[in-house]
Amino acid sequence: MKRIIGLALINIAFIVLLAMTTPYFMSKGNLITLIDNMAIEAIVLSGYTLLLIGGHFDLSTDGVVALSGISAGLLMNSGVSWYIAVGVAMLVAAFIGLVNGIVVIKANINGLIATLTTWWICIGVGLGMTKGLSPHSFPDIFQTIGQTRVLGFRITVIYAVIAIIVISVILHLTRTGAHIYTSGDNSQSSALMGIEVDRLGIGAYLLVALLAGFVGVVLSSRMNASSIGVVDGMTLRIIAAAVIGGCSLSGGKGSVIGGILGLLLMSILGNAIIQWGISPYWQKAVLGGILLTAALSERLNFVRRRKRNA
Amino acid sequence: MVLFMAVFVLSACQPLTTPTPVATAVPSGRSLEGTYYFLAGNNADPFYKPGVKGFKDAGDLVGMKTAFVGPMDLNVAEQMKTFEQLVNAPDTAGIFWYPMDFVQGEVYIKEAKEKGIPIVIGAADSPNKTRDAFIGVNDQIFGTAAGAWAAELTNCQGKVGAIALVQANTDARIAAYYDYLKQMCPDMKFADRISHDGSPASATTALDAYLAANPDLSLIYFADGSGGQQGQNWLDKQAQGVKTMLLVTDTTDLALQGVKDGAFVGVLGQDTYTEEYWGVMLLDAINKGVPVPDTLYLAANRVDKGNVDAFIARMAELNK
Repeated sequence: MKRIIGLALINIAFIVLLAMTTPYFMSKGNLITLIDNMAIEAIVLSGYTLLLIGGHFDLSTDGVVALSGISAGLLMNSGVSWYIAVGVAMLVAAFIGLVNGIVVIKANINGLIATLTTWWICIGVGLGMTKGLSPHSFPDIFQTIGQTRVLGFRITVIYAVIAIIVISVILHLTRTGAHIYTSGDNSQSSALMGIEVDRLGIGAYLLVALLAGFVGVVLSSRMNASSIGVVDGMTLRIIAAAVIGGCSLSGGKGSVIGGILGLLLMSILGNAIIQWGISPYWQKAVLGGILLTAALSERLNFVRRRKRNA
Repeated sequence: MVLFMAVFVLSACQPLTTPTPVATAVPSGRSLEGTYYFLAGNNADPFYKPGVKGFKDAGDLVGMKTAFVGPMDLNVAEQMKTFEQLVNAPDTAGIFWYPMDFVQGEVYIKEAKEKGIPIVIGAADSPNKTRDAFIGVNDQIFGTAAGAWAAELTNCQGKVGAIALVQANTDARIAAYYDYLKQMCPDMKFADRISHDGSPASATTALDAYLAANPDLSLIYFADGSGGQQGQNWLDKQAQGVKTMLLVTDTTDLALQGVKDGAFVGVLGQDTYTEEYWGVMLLDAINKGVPVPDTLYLAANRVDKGNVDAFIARMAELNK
């Protein structure tokens, strides 16, 4: 909890700094934009946190986003109804999630290799199906999935809020959630306790893939086009946000809210770089430097607190 | 003779061709068997479709095999590995290179020359000009054309900005765009250029933040090809009352659709079919000992509502 409060304070500090140093950061338009664009990654992040807490990770989510969007797009362009296209896209995503889960957990293949290869397969299949040409111009009703606005915000914000609440409830208020934490902390002793570690792990991979598939559909709707490179590096940003938010890469620790605060910090900094007019040549260095400083200062506070309590 | 005539006509059509064509030293009498390779990067980009067709059509005409190779992403190291592989492959008859890093490629150009493999560069020319020939749009001229169009569209009034990936070719375009406008439109204001990560989602995020930070922008020049995928985003912005014009790059089907729908004020694009077609012709001429010009500049296509239908029809044909 202290880590979450620390991260929230860092976010607030940056918000105050930006409000004082730029004319438009606190404008309604900019804040809506910031939250709208964060929402897409927040949807996948919420499931990804659960996967990380369970002691697993998945590098294929960029590929799943692309392939599910392309599947839906190609089907709609060939005359298939939008709801069937969406259904097929979600089935494709579910299939990849199951393959990831079974290969990593049942076949005991390293998660890095397994999900890296499914990412490549997704991109390769997507390229093969499209031959490099993005399907576009979808039915109006399909476009409402990603373009509808509610109180000025894109509907993706609603999807993200639902995902965050549902997964937080699962993690913190159900026995399944407690089992995920326990199995992430120590899978062998969890299995001896009778927890169905394998089923939980496969379920987590399935959940992440379904959320990524849904994001693929939402982005196709929002852009009115499906592109193989629609997201690039999203998975790594999500992992970074989750770890900044307190998730451990070895499992057993973390929370969705922490991950969301990590993502918020990254999004604020991405926005700040443009608001401050930092040269594009220096953006990555500045972004990386500030994130590292934020992570180190938060860690330093944690160590101080522990020493004080000891 | 036909090739000579065609190269001559092509050169004559381009007012910006360098004034002193240089006859390239080539090993005459090379066996004309093997494959002409088109080595690029980010090969999944629909931008390449017409160029690959032009490359193949020209290959068919001269009776040579052709292949389009290179990484699917913007990966310089992978492009260099492929370059090395091609230089050492027994069937390589010539390489048409879209450079991602001139400096790293120099060593392979040297090796290729030692083996008698001609190298023609497209897209953006190497500053050292160690290659046999260059054909393409000069990025400085491309950026100047964007600046001139922006000046027309804004009547040299208001504030303009630009966005692009950080790359040598887009950097040159953007520098020329700002230089032209600063010189020709003294009353104009400028927002610093921004960049994005290459994906449509990151470009949307960057554009949204740019507009929020600069709500008074009259026009944004999107200097790399990913701007074409912002059509729906820009239509949404227009529906919310945003008046900023978006000028995009590369005549992909999505960019053209964006112009047709009114999302983009225009597209500036390379004629990649022509570029790659003549890329093969240059490789073949060099292999046959025919002197070729050192540099051939192609004009940029300027597409707006008035001519977009013709371009959509043309691209549909080339994308088949």
